[in-house]
Amino acid sequence: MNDFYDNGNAPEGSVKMATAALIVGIAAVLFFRIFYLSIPMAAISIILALLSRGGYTVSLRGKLAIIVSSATIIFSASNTAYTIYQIYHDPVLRQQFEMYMEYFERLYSEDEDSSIWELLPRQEQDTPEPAPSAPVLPIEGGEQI
Amino acid sequence: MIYDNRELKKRARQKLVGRYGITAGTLLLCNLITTALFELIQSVIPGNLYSLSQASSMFSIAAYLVCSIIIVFLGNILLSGYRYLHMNIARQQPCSVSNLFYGFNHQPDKVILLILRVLSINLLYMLPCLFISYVVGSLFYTLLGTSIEIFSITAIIVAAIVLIPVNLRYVLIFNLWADYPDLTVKEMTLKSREMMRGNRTRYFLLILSFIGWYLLALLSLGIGLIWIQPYVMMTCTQFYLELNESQRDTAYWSNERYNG
Repeated sequence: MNDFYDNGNAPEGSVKMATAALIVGIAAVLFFRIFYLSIPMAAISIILALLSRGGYTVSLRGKLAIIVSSATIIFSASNTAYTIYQIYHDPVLRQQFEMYMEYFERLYSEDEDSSIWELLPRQEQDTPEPAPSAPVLPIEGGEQI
Repeated sequence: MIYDNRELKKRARQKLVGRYGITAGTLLLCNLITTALFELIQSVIPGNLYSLSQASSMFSIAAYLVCSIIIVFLGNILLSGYRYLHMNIARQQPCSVSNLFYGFNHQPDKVILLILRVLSINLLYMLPCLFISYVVGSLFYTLLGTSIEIFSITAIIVAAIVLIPVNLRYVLIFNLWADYPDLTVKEMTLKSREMMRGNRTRYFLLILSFIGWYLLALLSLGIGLIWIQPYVMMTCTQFYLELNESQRDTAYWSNERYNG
């Protein structure tokens, strides 16, 4: 093992990279429930930590970043897998999920008939305007022509 | 001195520490320029390959193709400059983002000719490959009743088997272009072939050893490539420098023209 970092002689760039790796790793932990944020962030953290070593061993910060990020990837993936499992096995959640899916399908559907906009009240300009009629003139006796 | 792949990667990481800013920035700039140019022609030329059905005329398709080829060449000139930047970093020489445009000021015609030469060699090997895959695909189709798509699958497999070893001969041409500007295009390709003789498997294994890194890049939705690409490029540069050093004394290199 090289004592490159233990002597405090690590290049500045290497230290900065390891610090960046740790910060991104911690941010990945904070977002662990949102897998499409946490997994990419954790992967970036691992890449930065591994590259920060240069030609020597990974610094303490880098090691911490790798451990935290690896744990985040596992945790986030497990959490997502568990959520999917829950959705497919809990009838109430599944129903809600299907409602959401239907909502989004209609929202982004190209077919105008099944579009979500159909559910909304029609706009004024869509309804044909009534033909102009003759002005109503009041006459004596209260009757109209 | 011959280093193993692990040592080459270690040396590459050492050289890059503290330089990721410039390498990643230059790579981003290179990608930005080529992408912007592609977007530009897609917006200017109405009919392109992605919307053949909506193409207004054959002229617009042809114009799009010509523009695309020009951009591919421009992109390759930029990439040769990017390789030059890595050579400078590896040799601890001054480097800057302007190195990206080195190819435009120093014999860009040679870069284009090198690309054309490698492309023509590829094409030369591709034609028999396509014929073989057509025959194999037809045999599968008639004898086993498989779908005609088997033709494309066999074409890819045969092309990979034949073209990977062929292309491995010419991986050093751009390093040679940066190092030996006096050489002709033919001499560069011959020299690259000579240098890669007996080293192709080593280079192939070196590139394969980055699979783990690319998997990480996949997990990071491609963002990680900003740092991984310079690392791969620097490792390839270290490979070239090591070969260049070790083969300098051989008979092929002792030629006055190459060393002068």
